[in-house]
Amino acid sequence: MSASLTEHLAERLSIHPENAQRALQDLLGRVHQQLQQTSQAAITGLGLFWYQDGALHFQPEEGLARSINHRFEGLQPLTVNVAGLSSREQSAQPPFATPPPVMPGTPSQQAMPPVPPPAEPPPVAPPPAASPHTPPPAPPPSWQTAQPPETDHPLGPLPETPYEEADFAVMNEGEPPAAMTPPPPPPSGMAPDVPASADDLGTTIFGAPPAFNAPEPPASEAPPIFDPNALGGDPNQPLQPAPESDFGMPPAPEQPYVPPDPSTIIYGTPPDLSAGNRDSDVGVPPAPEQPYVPPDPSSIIYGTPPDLSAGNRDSDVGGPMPDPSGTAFPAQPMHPERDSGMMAVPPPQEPTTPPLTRQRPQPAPAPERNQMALVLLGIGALIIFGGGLFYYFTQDDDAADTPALVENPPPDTLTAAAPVDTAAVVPEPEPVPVVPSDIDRQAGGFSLVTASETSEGAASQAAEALRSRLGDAGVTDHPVDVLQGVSGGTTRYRIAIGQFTSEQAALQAKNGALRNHIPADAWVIRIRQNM
Amino acid sequence: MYNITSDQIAAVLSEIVRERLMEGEVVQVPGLGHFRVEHRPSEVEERPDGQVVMQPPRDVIQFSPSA
Repeated sequence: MSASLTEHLAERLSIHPENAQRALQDLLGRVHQQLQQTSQAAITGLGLFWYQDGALHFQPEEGLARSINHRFEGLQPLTVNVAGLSSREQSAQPPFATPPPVMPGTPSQQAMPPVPPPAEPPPVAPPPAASPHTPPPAPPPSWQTAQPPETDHPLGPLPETPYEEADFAVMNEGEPPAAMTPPPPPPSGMAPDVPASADDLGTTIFGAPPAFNAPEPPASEAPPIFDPNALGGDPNQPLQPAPESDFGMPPAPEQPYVPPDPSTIIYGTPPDLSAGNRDSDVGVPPAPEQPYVPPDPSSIIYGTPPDLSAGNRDSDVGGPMPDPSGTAFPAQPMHPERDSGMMAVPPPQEPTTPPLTRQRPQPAPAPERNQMALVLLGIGALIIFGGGLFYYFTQDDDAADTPALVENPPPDTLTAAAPVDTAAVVPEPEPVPVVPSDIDRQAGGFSLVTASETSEGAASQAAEALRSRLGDAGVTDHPVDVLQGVSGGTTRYRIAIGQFTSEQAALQAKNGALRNHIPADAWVIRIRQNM
Repeated sequence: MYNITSDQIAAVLSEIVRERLMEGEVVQVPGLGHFRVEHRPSEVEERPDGQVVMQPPRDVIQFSPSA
């Protein structure tokens, strides 16, 4: 806190912390100097310090003390009725409403005058001798009588009850509430006594508990619950401490154990209900431990006729139960009269008939299931392995057959040794019809010109495009060629198609077979030798 | 230097101590001691004149001087 105290001082005084530290040291130096000179010193707003018996004491200022005690500010002491007067009359006169003592060294005394240390509180006088039926002798002192009127009470008018526990209980955090319930009016026959100790005060103030003042019950009434005499004990004998488990309840009388009737127990032997086993007995006898004996299959399927005598009929609800010993239901011949209508199906002649339909298939034990899983896994692995082998050999056969299908494989290619899967599958492409590209200029004749270019390359491309178009259309009986000629001083490269013997034949072809493949403005030209 | 009088530093010191004590903290003033708040529950007091009064609970300041 010292560091933070210096920081707080520096912050509030708007100075550097070192300066605040020096200022605080100066102040404390003056206080110590004053203490050495006059044995007391005061700090404004804090309180008075003084030396007494070699120890430094502190008395806070009134304002500081009231600020710290703000939670209980205004609470007045309560006068306790000890003389038979009603507590309300006493509380109506606040007995100790004097202002707090004025502390020497208040802010009005800044010069720190020497003030004698506060006097020690006077010793508490011993209480007066307790004498019954004696009212309090001393009248209230003058400071007690000169009280402000009730309406001037800081907490308002007094409540109906002279003392409210909530007034103090709310403020006492973490403390057990004191027994400060409003004192009931004492019984008429009770005389108040002045207690000699603080413990007795509470009894006297608030009255004795009514339970202790209750009259003695008459002898004819029922004895109390803890009366050992009522339980049959000897009143002359000292009381025996009850066991811890009884929790104050009278012990249950010991009763001899009577085993149950064996006829009421249907199966098994009577459980051991001795004294040592009674604690675990919760109503159902423990099942007898018997070794497991697998039942006879014949008795499971068809069973032997159960004993339906009078003693066993009530317990036979779901059918015969297998007897571990095999002797509880001995095979007995059916009584024709007694069992008529109760056994509709006679037992078979061969009890060794294997069960077929009524038994639920039992799941295989865990080891067998594991073995079955292993077998299945092995079978699956074999299948996968076989499939892989089949695929491998099949592929090898295909690869071996591939070279036979390929004719004249390129010897210099790196993929020659690789299997060619598509060689035997992909059919050979159909032969594209080739349009002849040569026009016999020596033979002469006529041709159809579809375009004329000034560039030989452009003309060659156009001729090629026309050949491709005609080839796609299947028109291959007319050659396509580029005929060169000069027209107006410019060399013309004409894309010509067909070689006809006459001009009419050319026009007929233009309007006939070539109508949809050449432009409509194609014209006829004579083929010359120098073209 | 600084222009802080003793009265000013004393007033601020008491103000800080008051605030810290009201918050329930222990305030230590170096070279002087530490202050803390103690709660006194209500108690029954018998006066010399024979009257028995019940003092209300209160919070008081406890000072412990530094060694």
